[in-house]
Amino acid sequence: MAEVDFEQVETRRVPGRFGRLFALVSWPSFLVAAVAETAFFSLINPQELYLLGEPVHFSPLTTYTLGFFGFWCVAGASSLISSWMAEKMPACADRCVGRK
Amino acid sequence: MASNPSPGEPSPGTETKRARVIPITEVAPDEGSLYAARKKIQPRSIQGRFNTVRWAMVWITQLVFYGLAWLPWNDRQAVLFHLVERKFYIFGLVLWPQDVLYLAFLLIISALGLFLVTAVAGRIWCGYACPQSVYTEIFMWVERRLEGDRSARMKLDAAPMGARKIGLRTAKYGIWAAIALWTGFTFVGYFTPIRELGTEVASGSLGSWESFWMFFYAVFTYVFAGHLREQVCKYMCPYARFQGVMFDPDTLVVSYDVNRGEPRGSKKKAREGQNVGDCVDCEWCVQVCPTGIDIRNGLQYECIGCALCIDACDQVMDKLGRPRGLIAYTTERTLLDKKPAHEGWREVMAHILRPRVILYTSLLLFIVSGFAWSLLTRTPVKMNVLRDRATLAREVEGGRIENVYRLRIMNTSEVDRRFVLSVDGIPGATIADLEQIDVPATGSVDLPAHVRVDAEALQPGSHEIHFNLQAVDAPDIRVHEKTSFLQPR
Repeated sequence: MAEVDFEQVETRRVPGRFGRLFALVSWPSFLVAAVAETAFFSLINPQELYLLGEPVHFSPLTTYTLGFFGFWCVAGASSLISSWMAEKMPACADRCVGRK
Repeated sequence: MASNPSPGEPSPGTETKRARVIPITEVAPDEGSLYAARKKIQPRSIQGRFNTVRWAMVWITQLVFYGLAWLPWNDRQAVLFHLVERKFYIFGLVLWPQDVLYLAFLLIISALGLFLVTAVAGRIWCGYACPQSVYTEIFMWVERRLEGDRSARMKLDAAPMGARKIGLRTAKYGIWAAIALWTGFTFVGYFTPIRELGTEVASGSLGSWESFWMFFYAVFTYVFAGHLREQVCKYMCPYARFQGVMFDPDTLVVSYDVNRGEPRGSKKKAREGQNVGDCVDCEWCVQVCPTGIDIRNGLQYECIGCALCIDACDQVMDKLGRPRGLIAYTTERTLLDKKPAHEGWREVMAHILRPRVILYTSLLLFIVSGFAWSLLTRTPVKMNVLRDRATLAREVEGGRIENVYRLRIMNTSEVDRRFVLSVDGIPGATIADLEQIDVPATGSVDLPAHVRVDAEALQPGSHEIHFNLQAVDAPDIRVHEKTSFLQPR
């Protein structure tokens, strides 16, 4: 039996806006947030934090989780701005051939 | 060349400079671009030396990951990063937040280790030990068992949705989800005691954050290993992007021997008398590649160094009765010297022993020995001393001045210990109600210490004073903490 030409029938997926955002924004900020979380909570006990002048009354796990998502949001905001600015950056001069 | 260059022409000097410019030709964006269409990669399975090594690594890493969490040690979990207690248990070692320096040590050691391995052997971390590769392999194994090998899977992808396809897909996604959930459970089990976690899961009383993180990690595993796969390595992994700076001409990389292989062509062409190399252009190396690249195009950043193309090519060469090694682990220098890939150990050592590797190795040895020395000579007791700022210095009976200190004594060993506290630095200083202090194993005790000094013995002001804590059972277990004693005016 002759082999079917699968090049014709293969599914093609185009990474869309979500894929781009995931790869360029969420993922680097996730890695940075993991590092920041480890460093921050290695040095600071979640039970000794103050929130709006009151000692935090959350369980340690809640504080760790909120901390992680807090770091992720901050790092994500930075990544988002960077990726947006990189996209808007004018085409570079002749020194960077091959890039647009 | 014209002897008198006209003003418009470059002078000979500039010409030689120009000649050194590497010509870069603009190429159309390929599928490596984030914006381009991407084919779904359905790698063919392959047997061979490197595939065996890959599977051995899957077993080793996963036995360690899934198994270690269940290993008991001194009536507790052997490896547990107890977040709520803020204590890290690693076999006999108990780390407290005060030991954060060891974490920095560990990070430096890991980074240097990665540099060293990359400089010597390229991306073997990616191909054999990275969780992304390992879980992708496990997930692909499930896929292959259910849906068949490459061509069967491609046919299934192309087939319209029917009962068989729905059944196969449901089974595949179900098994993937089960593996992902077990992985998530194990992951959380390194931060919360896994046996308690197991009981909680069984009784349905799992805490909300534990459940959250379990599902979070499970979803990550499922999406990364099941769907994103090579895209993680191609678009998301920072290591894949900066590996180039750690490579040099002596780094071991998966390479195609262009001199031997080209011009590629079938046996038929060879019989017809055409000049063909050893590559028969069977495309097996492309079909088995988990990142879907053609290694014959040279080293690419998408290559995770898994060497499955070597296994594929070796099989083809064996069938053709030609020597193996058309695609092989080799170095750029070997290829440039047009040597065969398989060399004696002398040549191998010549590649390995080079300044970069020696530098990384000596740095690594230095830091590892410092780390080991610091761990071995660690005193298993810590004491924090804080002068109680709420209680100022006051006069007590007998005309003595008293300062109050808050002490926290931490026993980082795994036996209960009794300690004796004393002070020195000021003549005649004593601790009121001095008793022996019992601190439980891996526990801590907070207590006040009332230090009294004769009023006449000191000038007004701040004076240095030392607390000494001494274990009763072991004379070498002692700590010495400096603080200040305040003499009022």
